[in-house]
Formats: sequence, C-alpha cells, structure tokens
Amino acid sequence: MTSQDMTNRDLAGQELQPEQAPSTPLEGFAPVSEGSASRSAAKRTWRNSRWWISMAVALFLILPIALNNYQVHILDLVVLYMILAIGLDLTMGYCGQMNLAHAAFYAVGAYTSAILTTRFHFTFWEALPISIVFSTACGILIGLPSLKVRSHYLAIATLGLAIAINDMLVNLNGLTGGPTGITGIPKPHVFGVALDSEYLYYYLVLTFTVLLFLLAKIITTHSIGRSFRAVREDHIASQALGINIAKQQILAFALSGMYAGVAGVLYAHMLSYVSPDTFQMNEMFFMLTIVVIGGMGNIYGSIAGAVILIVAREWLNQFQNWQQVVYGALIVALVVFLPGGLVSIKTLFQHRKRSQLYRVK
Amino acid sequence: MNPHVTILLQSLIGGIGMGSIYALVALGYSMVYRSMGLVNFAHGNIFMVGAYIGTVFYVSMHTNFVLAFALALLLTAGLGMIVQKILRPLEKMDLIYMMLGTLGIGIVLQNLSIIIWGPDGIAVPFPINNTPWMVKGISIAPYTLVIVGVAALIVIALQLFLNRTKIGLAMRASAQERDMSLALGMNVGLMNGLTLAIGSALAACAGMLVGPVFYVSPDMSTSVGINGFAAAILGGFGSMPGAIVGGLVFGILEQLVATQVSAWSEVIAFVIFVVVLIFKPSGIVGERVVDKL
Amino acid sequence: MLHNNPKKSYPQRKKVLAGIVLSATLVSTLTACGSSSTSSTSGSSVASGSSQDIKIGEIGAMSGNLASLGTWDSQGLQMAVDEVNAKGGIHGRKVVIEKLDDQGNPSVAVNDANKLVNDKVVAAFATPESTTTLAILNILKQAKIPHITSGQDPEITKKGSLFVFRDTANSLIFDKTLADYVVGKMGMKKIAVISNSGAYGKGEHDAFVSALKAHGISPVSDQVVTPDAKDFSAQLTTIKEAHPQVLFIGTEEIEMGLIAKQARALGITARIVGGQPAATPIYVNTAGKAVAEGTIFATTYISNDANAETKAFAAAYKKKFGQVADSHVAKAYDGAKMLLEAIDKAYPNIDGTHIRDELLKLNYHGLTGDFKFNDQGEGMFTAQIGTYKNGQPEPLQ
Repeated sequence: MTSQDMTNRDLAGQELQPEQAPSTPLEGFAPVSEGSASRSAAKRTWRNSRWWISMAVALFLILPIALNNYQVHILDLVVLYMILAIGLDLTMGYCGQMNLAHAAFYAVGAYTSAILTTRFHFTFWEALPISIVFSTACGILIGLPSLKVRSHYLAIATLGLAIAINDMLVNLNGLTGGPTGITGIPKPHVFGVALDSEYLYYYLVLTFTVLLFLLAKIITTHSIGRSFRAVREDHIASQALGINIAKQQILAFALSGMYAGVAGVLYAHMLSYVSPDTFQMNEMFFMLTIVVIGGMGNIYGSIAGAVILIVAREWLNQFQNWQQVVYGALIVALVVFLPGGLVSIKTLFQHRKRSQLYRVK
Repeated sequence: MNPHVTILLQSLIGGIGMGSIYALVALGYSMVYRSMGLVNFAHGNIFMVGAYIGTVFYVSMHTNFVLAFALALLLTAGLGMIVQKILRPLEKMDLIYMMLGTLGIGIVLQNLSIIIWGPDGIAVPFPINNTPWMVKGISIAPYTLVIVGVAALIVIALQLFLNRTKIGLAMRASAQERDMSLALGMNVGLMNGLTLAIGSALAACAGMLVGPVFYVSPDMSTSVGINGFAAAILGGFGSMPGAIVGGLVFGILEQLVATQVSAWSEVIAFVIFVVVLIFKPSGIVGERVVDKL
Repeated sequence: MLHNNPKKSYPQRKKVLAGIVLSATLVSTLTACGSSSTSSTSGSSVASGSSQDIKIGEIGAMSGNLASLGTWDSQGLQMAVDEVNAKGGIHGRKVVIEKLDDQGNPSVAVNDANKLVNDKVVAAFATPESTTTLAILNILKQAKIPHITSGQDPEITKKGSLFVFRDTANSLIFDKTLADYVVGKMGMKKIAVISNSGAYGKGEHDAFVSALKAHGISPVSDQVVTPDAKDFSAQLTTIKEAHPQVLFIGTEEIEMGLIAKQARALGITARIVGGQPAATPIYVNTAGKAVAEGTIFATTYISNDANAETKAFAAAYKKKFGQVADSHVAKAYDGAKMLLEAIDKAYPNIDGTHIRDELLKLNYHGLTGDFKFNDQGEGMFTAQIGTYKNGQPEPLQ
C-alpha cells in the first residue's frame, strides 16, 4: 500500500502544507502553530509522498504491458472509478455533504458528450468542456437543497432528484434515445491517433485520473480543503471563523459534478454506448461503498477502494446471486469492524487511537 | 359526472390505498429512527421478505390468509430482532455508516430471497371477492377498503400498545431517555430490538396487504422502500402521526400526478417533495424527537 | 463533534482481530482473482476441460431482478448443448459453455463481452435483452464473434453488425401481426394503449402505434407507466374514461398481468391484447385465469401441445428442469440448435466468419417456426395469433 504514510497524516487531521496561504480565517482552526519542527516534518512527508505518488503512477503506466485486453478493460474501469470516488469523497468525506446524486452527475456528463458527438458531430475534445460545464451546473443545482437540509433529509432529497434525472433520461426520447440509450459514440482522437484500443484508451483515462488526483490533492491541502473540513465538523464554529458555509457546500457539490462529469465523458467514449440502466441507484451505492470501504475523507482511500472493489466485483461475478450476498455481508462486516476504511488498517496494527469517524451532515 | 372529476376521485381512492401502504412502511422507518437513531435502508427489503413469508404460507402451503398474515408478522419481527443484533454497533455512528451497513443487509436479504424463492415471484390471488362496486362511474375495489381498514386497525393497536402497556411505555422511555432508562435498570438493547421487530412487522403487514394487488417478487422492495422513506420525511421523520400523514399525502400526490403526465410521475413527485422539504424541512407534522446524536 | 468513543461492549482487540480477518479475506479475493485471470491468459482455460473442447460464450442476467430472462435463455441453451454432447459432441469435440452474468446491467455486459473475446469463444449466446445486446454489439462485431440475441428491439439489427442474429421476431413483426388481426379481422376501432417506459415497453409502444397508423387509427388513450410501477389505477381510470374496445398492454409479463388484473378491478371490460409476454404462463398466473381468458396475443410459440416436436421438447424440459416450458425457453433452444448446427457445418473452420456464413445459409425448422437469416441477422418474419380458452392457450388463425 503506497499511501500508508500519507494516510496517517490525513486521519490524524493534521494535514499541513508548508506553502499554505496564511490569510485564511481558518488559521487558528487547524493545529498549525506547532512550531517549525512539525512544519519540516510535514515537508518531509510531502517529499516522501511525492516519491510514492510517482512510483504509483509509474506502476500504473507499465501495468498494461503485463495484461491482456480484458484485464486492461478492467484496469480502465479501476482508474475511471478512482475519478468518481475522489469526486464523491470531496463532497462526502471532506465537506460532509450527504450526496446521493453522484451517479446522476456521472450520467449527465456521459449523456451530454454522447449527444453532442453523435447528434451534433462535435469532437471528443469539443464535447468534453461542454459536458463538464453541464454536469457541474447540475451539481450546483442539486446541491441547492444542502443549504436548507442536512443528513438523511439531504440524502433523500439528492436521491430523489437523482431518480428524477434518470427518469428524464428515459422519457426524453428524442434527445437521449430513451431506455435503449445511444449507440455508436465515437472514440476520441489524440494528435490524429484514434484511441480505439483498450490499451490506448487506458492512457487517456489514466492521464485524467492523475490530473484530477493532483487537483484533489491541492484542494484538500489548501484553504478550500480546510474550510471543507471545518464545515464538516461544526457548522456553527466554522461560521464563527468567518467561513461562508453556503459557498463551501455548493463548491463541494460543484466539484462532485465536475469529477463525475469527466468520468462520465470518459465512460461514454470508452463503451461507445450509454443507457439509463447504467446510472441507477445500485451504481450510486457502489461508488459510496468504494469511498467508505476505502476510507472517508482520504483520497488515498478512494483509490484503494476503487482498486479493491472493482477487482473483487469482477471476481465475484462468477458466483451469480451468491456474489451479491457475499458482497453485502462484506460491506456490513467492514462497516461494523473497520469503519475507518481500508486506510485505517495500519492504525489497527499500531494500537494507536482509532481513526476518527467523520460526520456526514 | 364530469370525466375530470371521475378521474380525480378515482385516483384519490387509489392514492389512499397506496398511501396506507406507504404509511405502514413509513411508520417502521420512523419508529426505528426514534429509538435507535438509525435510518434503516434495509427496510424496503424487510418489507419484501415479509411479503414473501406470508405469501409462501398463503399461496404455496394453502394456509388461511389471516393465519398467514399473523405468521408473516411474527417471523418478520424475528428477522427484525436479528437485524438489530447485527446493527447494534452502528447505532452510535454517523448516518453514512448506518446507511452503508443497512444497505449491505438489504443486499444480503434481497439476494438470499432470489436464491430461496427464485427471481420470478409469486402471483397472489385476492383473499376476498374483489368485484368492484360502481358508484356513479367510480369503481371501488373491496380489497382497497381491506387495505385501508387493516392498516388503520394496526395503527390503532400500535398506539394502544405503546401508550397502555408496560412494555410499550418502556420502549417509549428507552427511546426518549436512553441513559435514564439504563440507570433504571431497563434493558435498552432489548427495547431497541423490540422496536425494530415491530417496525419490521409493520413492513411485513404492508407487504402482505399489497401482495394480491402487486405481485410478490424480489424487486418490489425498491420503489416502496424509497417512497416509504420519502413519506416518512415528508410527514416529519421520527413522528408517528407524521408517518401516517406523510404516507397518505405521498400516495395521493403520486396518483394525482400520474393521471396527468403518467411517464413523468416520479420526476414530478420527487421535485414537489424536494421543494416541500426545502421550505418545511421538519415535514408536515414536524419531527418531534430531538436528534440524539 | 467527532465520534471517537468506541463502544465499550466491543473490545478493541476483538475489532483488531476482525479487521485482520477481513483484510485477509479481501487480500485473498484479490490474489485469487489474480491467479484466476492469469490461468485464463495462458491459452485455453484449464478449469473447463481439455483444449479440444469447443467453447461457446453466454451472457445474460443470472442474478438480480432480471434473472428469470437469463435463466430461461441459459436453460434452453443448456438443453441443446447437452443433446449434442450426449451424441458425442461436434465431430467428437465436446461443447462447453462459458456462462457470464451481466445482472441486466450494460456496463457489466461489456466487461463480460471483453472476457469472452479474451477467452476466444467461437460464438456466443448474448444476450436475452435489448439494452445489454446494444451495449456489446460493437465489441463482438470487432472480435468477429457471431452471437444470438433475443432482444426484440428492431434497432439491434440496424446497427451494421454482421455478427448479430436474432432467434425471434422483432417487435415490429409481432405488433403488426397483432394490429392486423385486431383491426383488420375483428374490426376494432377504439384502441387504448398502455406501455412502460423501459426498453421493451417503449419498443412495443412504438411498434404497435405505428402498426395502428398503417390502418389509419390512432389510440383513444395512450398511457405510459414506469417499469417498476405496481399501482396503475390513475392511468387505467384515464383509459376507462375513453371507453376503448381493446386495451393493448406493452410491458413485460408480470406488469402486464398486474395491469390486466387492475383494469378488470376498475371495471374496464375492453378486450386485452398484447405481444409475446401475454403468451406466457407467468402472465396468466399474475392476472389470474379469469382475467386472462380471452386475451389475444401475438407470439412465435403458442403452447407446448402444438405438435409432436413441442410435446417432446416440453417433456424433456420438464424432466431436466422440473418446470413447464414456455416460449422463452423454446426460442432459446431454437437459437442454440441453429448455432450448434452452424458450428457443425463450419467444422473444422470454426472461426467467427465461417460460423456466420453457415448461419446465413441455414434453413431451420424449429419449435417456434421457420428461420432463414438475412444479412442483417433477422431470421423470423412471422408471428402467430393466439388466445386463452378455458385457461389454455390456443391458436386463433
């Protein structure tokens, strides 16, 4: 596990950045002022983690060489779900917003790009930014109830709106192809090369995953991430610190929309086919499982969760109905016994204080 | 009679029928939430399992409908006790963990039912003669009255149980004042188990009642589970009158929208629901119990 | 507000242990996965017998709520394959099936299709539904794997794949036959339509409404419900107000039965008509015998008692799986027989292109009718009209 070193820092809630913007009103909120010793320690871990991240990226770069076509397809899905999981973790794990509409944003990204490229003959690169704008807008729109309601109320509100979006995909026959979806979505071209093999497409997805991972890293280590955590922990206290809660919440939903949108576009062009069946509730719960089992409020957890759950799901597939029984039982067991997620395994061994469970509002 | 009025009245009748079912399901959500602070996302699946248990007795083993009904209630209540044992560690955790844990249990129940009873489902004949009565062009199916009547009886019985019996009072006490009840030597764990058992029995009751109208199959859990949850929230989560009002309102709302724009009924029902939620987050009746977490 | 107070009733050590056990389980699933995939990369799979076997792939929903469709398909295929193997296989080589579960989910179906391509199956039975078939069409086309689908969406064969073959008629044919009978022969004019917004329901709706249009008729009421709806009183009341003579139901078996049952409960007396699903025992069971009586349906397989072949098939099926055969199983059996015959004729050149060529040459007389495939992969162009008399399905024409 390449992320262990980072993990502890995250879980202990002391994620520090040497180059943080000093002007945020949050300065006193996070345990920052522990002197230069901890500062240089943070610097060391950052350097350390940079090394680990490059190693992981290098591993993912060379991995396809050892794999066959089918395995590369699964690997494609693994890196794709990393994007989805990181996006969901930013809203749910970091900002504590109950978001059950992530799959709907995913659908909006996928459908926008599918419609633009098949009906209006846009290229992939033209459709991508438009799709991201749409899914982000959708994220903001569905995030609006978060300003008024929280917790299970927000859960059912976002879930209900997600169901509504899925129904719209089914009912807007002329535009979305209705229940049978859209076929023949073209493969993207990069510098004139069509990415029509799983291998080539994998590198496109990987590029986006790395970029979006780095973006998430920047967000979580800078002032936005700290404001997110403040909102998650205590609304009143963060208001007292001068944080605009509404802004942070909407920003979190917008990020969720953006990440899911990118993943949606990549998904649509990977399969060349989209249909409403793909983006239903069980998809949403699968993403949720990745984030929670990986470890909430930790982007490395999302990555580990995506790897393990996609591979496990593929392997369990041969057992038909029993796969789902085992899968369900594993979820219950992991939530009960390892609520900190996979990233907290190490803390179990270290007999330290158990990882803190994050509060979702 | 004006066809619009006929359609309106007819969908009102249908809405009240479905609404009673939602109300029973919503009651289960609210009771469990009130006593354990737990949002039970496996409730829809428990509803389905309850319907299956009753149907297996009634259709496959040819027992009397009333007896099958009672057996379904009892056995599903037992299932609720087991679920409570599994969920105990989640009681104090955050919503997300509860949600995932209960979802996991739901997945297990769902797929075990498919393994045990097959994916095809069972058709249930009406236990009474269901020839509709025609009143001025509006048809009233006798079984709809059975659903509403039994649901009402069950709710009254539950109220009496909670207010008049010693165990009922103990359950209410331990739901509202957990620590005090512990100090008084009450077995709060058992009380919570009983609450989940009663909640599950209510779901089984709903499942058994809709069996003849629906068709008992593994996929009956999803829409009723979500709509029942929405109904509980609409009425005011954790409130018992709220669950009943919310269930009826949601049922009628759904039917009314469906007569106008049938394919869009879910979209519109949920949008209206969210708008109501935003303007009145505490629901129609209002959440009465303070969040214990 | 952080919750870092572990519950006292659950000691720390127990949790550590449980955590270790759980992570070990996960790790072992991972390694098992790794090893199973490496075994499949190293040429022919060891698990499913010798490399002399002829491998056919199968994708369908074996779990989840659509599992009945996949199960029927699977059983029909299994019967045909077992028969061939009992006679010594194809030129002495045993036929094995690589069965993959798609849960009715297009994404999973795509994973499965990639797996089949990777495992070098010569042909495939994929899939019993329209959406999953559309999702995998291109992958199997590129890999040149001929596959049999029983999705009824007319679009499937119009996407330019040379390798897709339909083992049943498409919605257009069923619904044209039905409309011709109801409007042309029975002279009905006031027809109400209720369908669901799923892939199958929408296909039925569009096909039936366009067939009505050909007769110059438009529905007096056109209602759409969702595939998982259970209460239809609102839509049916609207239909009742239009006083139709005929109610066309365009949904899958169970929903069709429920709609028919509730329509009668609301006092709708119109004649109920429907496509293939109305010809199945599931519809009759759901609606109840009294309601199903007189329902008119278009199908390729009216009953197990139609002739000596269907009787023999139904008996063999009952013996093997202990259930009563219906149109789904019969159609899968026909599809599988055709596929196996094509492989047999193409032997020893059992590659996708040769099998496809043989499928195109085939003139097959099956349980559900006569097949002759065209370039697009459509093989069945007629449907029969039937009804229920005294609870038993009977042909009408």
